[in-house]
Amino acid sequence: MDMRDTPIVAIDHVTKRFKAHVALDRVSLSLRKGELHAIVGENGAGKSTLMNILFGLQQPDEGGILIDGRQVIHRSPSDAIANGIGMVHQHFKLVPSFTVKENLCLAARPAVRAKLRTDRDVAAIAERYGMTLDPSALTGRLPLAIQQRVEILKALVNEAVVLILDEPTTILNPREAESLYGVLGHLTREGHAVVAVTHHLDEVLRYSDRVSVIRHGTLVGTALTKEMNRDALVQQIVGRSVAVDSRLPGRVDAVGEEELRLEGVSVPGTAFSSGLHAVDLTVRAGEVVGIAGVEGNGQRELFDILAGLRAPVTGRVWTRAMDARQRPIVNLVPEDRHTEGLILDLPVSINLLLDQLDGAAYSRFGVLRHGAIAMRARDLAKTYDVRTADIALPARSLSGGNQQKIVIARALSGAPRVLIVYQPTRGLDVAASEEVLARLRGAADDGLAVLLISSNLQEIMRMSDRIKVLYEGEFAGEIAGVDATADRLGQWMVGGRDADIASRMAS
Amino acid sequence: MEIDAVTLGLFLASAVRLSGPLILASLGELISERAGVFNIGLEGIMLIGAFAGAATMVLTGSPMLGVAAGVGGGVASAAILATAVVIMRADQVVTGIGFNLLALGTTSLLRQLLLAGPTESVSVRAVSVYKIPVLSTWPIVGRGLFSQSPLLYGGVVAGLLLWLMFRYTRLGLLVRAAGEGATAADAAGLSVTAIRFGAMLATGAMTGLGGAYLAIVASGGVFVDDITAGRGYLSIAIAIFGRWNPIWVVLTSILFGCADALQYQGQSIGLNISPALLLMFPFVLALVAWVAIGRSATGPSDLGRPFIRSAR
Repeated sequence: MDMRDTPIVAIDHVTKRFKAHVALDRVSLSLRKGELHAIVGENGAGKSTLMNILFGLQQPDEGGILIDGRQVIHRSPSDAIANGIGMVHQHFKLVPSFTVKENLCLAARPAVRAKLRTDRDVAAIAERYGMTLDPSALTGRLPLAIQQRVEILKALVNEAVVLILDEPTTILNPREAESLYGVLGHLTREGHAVVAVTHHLDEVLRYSDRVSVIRHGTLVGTALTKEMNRDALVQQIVGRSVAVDSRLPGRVDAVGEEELRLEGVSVPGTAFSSGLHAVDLTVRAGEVVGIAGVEGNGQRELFDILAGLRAPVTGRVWTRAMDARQRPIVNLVPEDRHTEGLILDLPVSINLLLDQLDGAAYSRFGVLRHGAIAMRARDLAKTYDVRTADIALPARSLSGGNQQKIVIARALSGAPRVLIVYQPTRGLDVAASEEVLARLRGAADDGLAVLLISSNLQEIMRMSDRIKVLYEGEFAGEIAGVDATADRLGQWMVGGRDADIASRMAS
Repeated sequence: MEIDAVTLGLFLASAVRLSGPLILASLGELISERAGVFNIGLEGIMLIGAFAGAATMVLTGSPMLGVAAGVGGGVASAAILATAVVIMRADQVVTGIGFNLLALGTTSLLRQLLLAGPTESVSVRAVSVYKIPVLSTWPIVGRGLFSQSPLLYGGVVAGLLLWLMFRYTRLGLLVRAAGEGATAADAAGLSVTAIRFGAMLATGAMTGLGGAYLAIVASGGVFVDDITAGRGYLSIAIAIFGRWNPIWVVLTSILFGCADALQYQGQSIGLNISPALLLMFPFVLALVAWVAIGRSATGPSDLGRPFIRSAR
């Protein structure tokens, strides 16, 4: 019998209720030795609840967990860890001011602490799992991809046989994601069972052995990945078919005059980024210009300059209207909606109108006009389909998709001419992503100039009329959206120039 | 103004002696802060330690018992504070300030009730001076550094032990984890609440000892209202100025002890400055320290934040 057929863990008819809401309804799932098992589903479908139950963070109301055929109860994560289950949370549970070794020691069970006595012990363990780590490095200074390795290692030093990863590639660039799956492949070959909860269907299809789909708290099914395809998966996830592969073409006739221009813009690089080197760029009304590239090649700087957060060292930025300090006037959908896009503890209504509260319509003599704010906010929430029980609730209480809709509603509602969008669908599920993209495309067709900065290549290719690729702070190439292929863009993203590619083809 | 060896020796002795309560209390504060609790109640703990020490010594005639009572009073005070801020997750600053006011009123009241009558004077030599052989006969520094209270030596040794603990032991790692990454500590199955509670009890013991030092060693067992006079607050500043490093905290305490000594010894060494200004000097130094450090200090990142486990 194939090693992969042996179940290590069986989740057996688990039901979980939160008051009247059934989060999980008799879900059964088995995890086999040596498999990479992907779990997919929309936000709120119950994936996280299921994983939390397996890891002991929550307890099931009915049903249970079997490990090697024996019924176990996980009252807390410590129980789960003792039973050989490890979890890498989306938000890492590391002490940033500790060294890698200190973080591992902190998390190690008493039985395994002796293995971590010296730096050399730690480095050797990492190497055993195909990772290179500096045990004395300060964890908080390491790139997120490496911090994630530390999290994985934390589970492995505790002798985990099942490793759960919650949205592991959300914070990674494509190259780092590939490298992560390399490490995970190493683990499955050693007989570990790896569970990846993810929205990235490409990764599911490329790397997983089996895939389970959860929708509205029930298991739609578990299948061998090689017998699945993208369309079938999407249909199972959302319960209807959604065309996610197709381009969202713009109306060519809508493209009008120049609205945004960068001329020779430069800013110096840092340890984490290349900066920008004499970048030229124009965006016209009615078009979406996509900026592709691996994170850290100048995207952040580009966004910051356009947002007025920093000034270019040389070069200039032009928009039709400039503010009093000669900064461009643009509307923004920032990368991190939690820290840059929203004030999470303030009500939805205030968040919807944050940039307009100074105006006479919403404040008089410095006193907010709550009636007017609520009326306009309710209007916006309806137009942009922000689903909340009450606009007075804090933005924190909404799902990621609805939070992003607030940001987009705010960015589009003030009749902007230029919109800068940075990673607009990061962390959103399929249906929410589609809504966001369609909304942006619609705004462009109505004459808005849109600059889309994203490391999600597929999103760039579907949305953009023109695509430029950032590599080490310069544009490595530009291509019309209809002509773009992932191969061509991918070459530019890792530094290949057209000339190089041509010469390589010739040889 | 003339400074000879004798004056300098006297000044040094006075400075080191006055740094004793600061060393003990600021090391105490350091423990709490490393565990993530900003313990503003230090002034009150110290005051209660001082009163418990003085009252017990006067009533029993034993300076040793007085010192023990100071520690006990400090621990009891810290337990009350810890219950509020660690277990019930009350605001650490508000609770601390409230506690300080409570301690001031309570000790004044108890002094009137218990210590109003005439009392016999008790010799405090047993806890106030221990001359370290040979070293204490050295010129100038001998008297200043090596003819001091055993409590002060204890404080310096505690500083060294704390440094070793934070650097090399699992206990030190756990305390730091509670202060620098409470969620990570929680995820590792540790009780952040227990670690912080324990750290605050240790703070109480050290600070109560500092209070007893102040009342017994430095004042000969005479308790006056508000005897601490801001030394608890000063110790909080020292913990920060010393960058949460026990060694630096001890050295900084001695620096502040020098500032304190200036107000007593200033005139005898011929410094022609108003005593009122000299009285201000340690606090001005503290203020400068706060401002200078404020921007660059990277303290425990969860300092002052009550730990609440999020739903997921």
